[in-house]
Amino acid sequence: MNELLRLLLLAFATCLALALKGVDAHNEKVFDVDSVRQFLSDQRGAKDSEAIGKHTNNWAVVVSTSRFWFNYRHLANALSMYRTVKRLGIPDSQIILMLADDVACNPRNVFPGTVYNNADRALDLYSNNIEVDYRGYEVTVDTFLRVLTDKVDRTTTPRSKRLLTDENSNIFIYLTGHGGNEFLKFQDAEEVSAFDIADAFAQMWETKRYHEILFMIDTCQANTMYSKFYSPNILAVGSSKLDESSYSHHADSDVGVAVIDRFTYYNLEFLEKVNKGSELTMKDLFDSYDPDKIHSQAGVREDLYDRNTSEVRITDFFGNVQAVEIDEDDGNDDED
Amino acid sequence: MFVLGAWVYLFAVCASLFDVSDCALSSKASGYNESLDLKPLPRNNLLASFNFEIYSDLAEGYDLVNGTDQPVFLAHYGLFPRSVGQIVKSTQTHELHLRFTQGWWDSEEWGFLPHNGKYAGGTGVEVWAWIAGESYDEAENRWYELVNALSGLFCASLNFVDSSRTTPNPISFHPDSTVSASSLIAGKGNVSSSSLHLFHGSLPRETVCTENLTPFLKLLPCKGRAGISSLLDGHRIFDSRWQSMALDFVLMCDSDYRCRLHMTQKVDVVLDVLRSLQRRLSPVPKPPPAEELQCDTSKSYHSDSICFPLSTPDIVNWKLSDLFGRKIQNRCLLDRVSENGVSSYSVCAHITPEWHLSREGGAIVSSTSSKACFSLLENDEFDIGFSTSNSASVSKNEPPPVYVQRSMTGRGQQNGGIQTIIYNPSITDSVSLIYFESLPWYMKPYIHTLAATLSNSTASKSTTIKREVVKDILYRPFLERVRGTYLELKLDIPPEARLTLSYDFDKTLLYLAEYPPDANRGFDVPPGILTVLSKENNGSYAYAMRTSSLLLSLPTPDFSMPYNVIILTSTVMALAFGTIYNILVRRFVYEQDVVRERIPLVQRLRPRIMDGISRWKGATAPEIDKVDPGADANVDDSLDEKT
Repeated sequence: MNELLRLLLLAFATCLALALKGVDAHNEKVFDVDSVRQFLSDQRGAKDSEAIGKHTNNWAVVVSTSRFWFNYRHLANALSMYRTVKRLGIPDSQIILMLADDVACNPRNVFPGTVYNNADRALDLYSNNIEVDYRGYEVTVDTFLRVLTDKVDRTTTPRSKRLLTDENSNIFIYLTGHGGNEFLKFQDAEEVSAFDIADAFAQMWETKRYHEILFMIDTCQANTMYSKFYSPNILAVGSSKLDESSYSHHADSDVGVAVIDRFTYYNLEFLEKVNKGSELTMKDLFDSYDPDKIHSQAGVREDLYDRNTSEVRITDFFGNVQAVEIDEDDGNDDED
Repeated sequence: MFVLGAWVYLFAVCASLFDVSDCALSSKASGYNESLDLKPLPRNNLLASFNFEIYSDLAEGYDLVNGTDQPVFLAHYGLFPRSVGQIVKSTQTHELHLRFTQGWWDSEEWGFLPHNGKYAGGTGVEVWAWIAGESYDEAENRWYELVNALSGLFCASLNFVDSSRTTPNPISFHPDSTVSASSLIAGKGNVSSSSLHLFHGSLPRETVCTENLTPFLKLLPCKGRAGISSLLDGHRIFDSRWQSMALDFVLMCDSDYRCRLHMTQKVDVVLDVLRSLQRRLSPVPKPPPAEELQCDTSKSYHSDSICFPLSTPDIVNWKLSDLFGRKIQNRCLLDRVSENGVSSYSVCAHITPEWHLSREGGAIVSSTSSKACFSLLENDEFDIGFSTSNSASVSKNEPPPVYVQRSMTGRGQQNGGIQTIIYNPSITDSVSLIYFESLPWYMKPYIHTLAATLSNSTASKSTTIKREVVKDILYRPFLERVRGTYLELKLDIPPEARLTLSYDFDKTLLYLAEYPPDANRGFDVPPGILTVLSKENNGSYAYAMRTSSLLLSLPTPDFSMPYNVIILTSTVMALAFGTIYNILVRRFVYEQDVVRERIPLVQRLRPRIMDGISRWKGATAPEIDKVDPGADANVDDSLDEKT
């Protein structure tokens, strides 16, 4: 018996020695990981490689929940945000645009096929390259929550209508419309409550569907909508606090209705200065909010967000500038 | 010897690389061609028809029917867009026809629809397809997969085409495929249990806007950047009087079951020339300055100071770039020269001798008094100018075989009626046609009230119909919430006769959740589809047109009632519960019977201690509860102290 045990021990020791030797061999890398990482971060211009966000892809969900012609400004808000994220690099395949009504080809529109967000009509938001994923009657609370949690019919729903995020995705979620204390109205028929969205985000966290979320909402009493979140890594911005309304900015006399809301207008004023290589941070954006101009108290919720907003770039959420995940394999791939 | 062997080997390799068999096939190789036809219409309108055609490579070695273990459907996607190819492959679609239409085609002014109405749809979005399936249910499931995939591709809500908006197998549609469907399914001697099923669905409420045009252009090889497609701009296309975008996919096979995917895309637009010109000057409508007014000189009061403007000026001078906002850029270089050696990229204008054309760029291909064609050149910008002093002179447009008009009759929120008037303008020929209507399930028609009356222009009264006019009725009644009414009539209308079809229907009160968010606007009823059969060609389909869609106003409930009911019920329940609970549990007692509370010792002793302290200090203030013996000698209490 003794002999047997001794033999086994010897065999085990041999195996261990061989394994360690193998590990040592594994450690002899062809390249130096740190220098590669440094090189890539230099390309991005970061002074400190830790300042790069750890996400690898960017998605955006831009929703306008209002129907009818007089809510033109909500659709202009959403389209302005859509244009911004497209300009900063997020492709259409990674943007879910939900517009509850059609204003561009509305018979009431004096400018067919055109949506303006400013009375100077310098910028047409409905250019010749626009893809609306959910439109008209499709924009419902049910659809919105299903898009977020990906609880859709996999056999029939096309990929362009699904939010195919993973645990390394940063998602920018923008909602605009009419809202109130802890609710947002969808198409004058139904409401989504702050609890519903909080639960949806919790489901997304559990199923590893996001790395970080920037939640921006421009409605009346918007800050109440993010008050119920409880999942980590969410940075939330609202346009007005409890018992406060959000206002439109100005109207165009030929379009006939208000064309942009104040909160979104001042956000855009800041974001027009941002381009793909910009190093402006989210804190710069939040500091630019002026209650005297916005006519409401814009709020930010940072307690669920562990990074410091002065280190988070605008392009981490609005653009498509990504970190690169370095695969530390030594290159010996198995053949299939 | 070795060298010879090497050459033989090389030759064999090369032969396998090049598809030698391709040369043996028909002259239609994989290719692409596009063309633009411009035709002025009466009252200063312009019909612009954009045509794009794509043929794929040979789909070799595939089996569209089984589609299971065959390795390839199409070896590689070159010009043919892969997004469409994958959709039709996975849903086993043999033919797909998709239409996006807005506006109204004025048959009386403009005559025949372009391409004989084959590529024009009804208001909104219309889709029909031939799908292969072992059973009807299998084909139906594939149909729903197809419309969902199309909704993602074209940014339209085609996913709303469910069983209540789908009609199976209407006879108004004929497949385009040259090889008959049944032989294609059986194909290559295999016995297959699959058959082709036709499904038709329409969404009359659907808007058509730039987000539908964007993916449409992205399917083209040049993606709207070069060639004719560079003119397609949503701002102009959707500022028209009538526009229709069509996509037709057909699996074209020869008798040897070698197939190609053939896709046709068309955009037909009727632009109001004056409106487009004016929009270029000022985006907001403004009246023209006095010197540009063209006056109607036939009026009696016409003078230098009084001008009655011509409703539509006769003298016009405009360019294509004025209407579309840009010139045709370059030429789509994915070339295909047509059989007679002429480049197939052509822009043709169909005019009369009173029009003068001027061109900038391009090259003239042919020029007659009624038609002038140009071809586009590389690295070139192309523009055509049209000018005339008599804009009413346009190339002859034949009147359509029939005129149709459909409207709703009746009033109230319980029932109504539909009336369709079909008029045959021909003096000599009768016209045979099929009239297809698909009604939503919440419109409940009474087919026994279907009446057809015929009136000739000569007769002053309408006479009741004879069997010779209504040849056949195909009808399938509705099933609530499952499918709508299907009605198809085969009609034969005598010359110069007006046929009036009418029937009554009931309106339904829907469940609360079935109303759309803007319920008070009403519900759209899909247009009726008329297919005119030709006399000569053994009843093949000669012309197709659609009526306008209708707006059905259903009774709508008060949508605030759920809230009111909840509040009222909650209040009633709270009051009831509260009252009953109080009645059961609450007891009333007299005040005297209530036992006094025991006052704590400290509180009781406190006044006595204070008394003691003040007495000891020799306070002179009289005690309130000290009895003055002299004052109240009559009080009974003094008996206690007195002996």
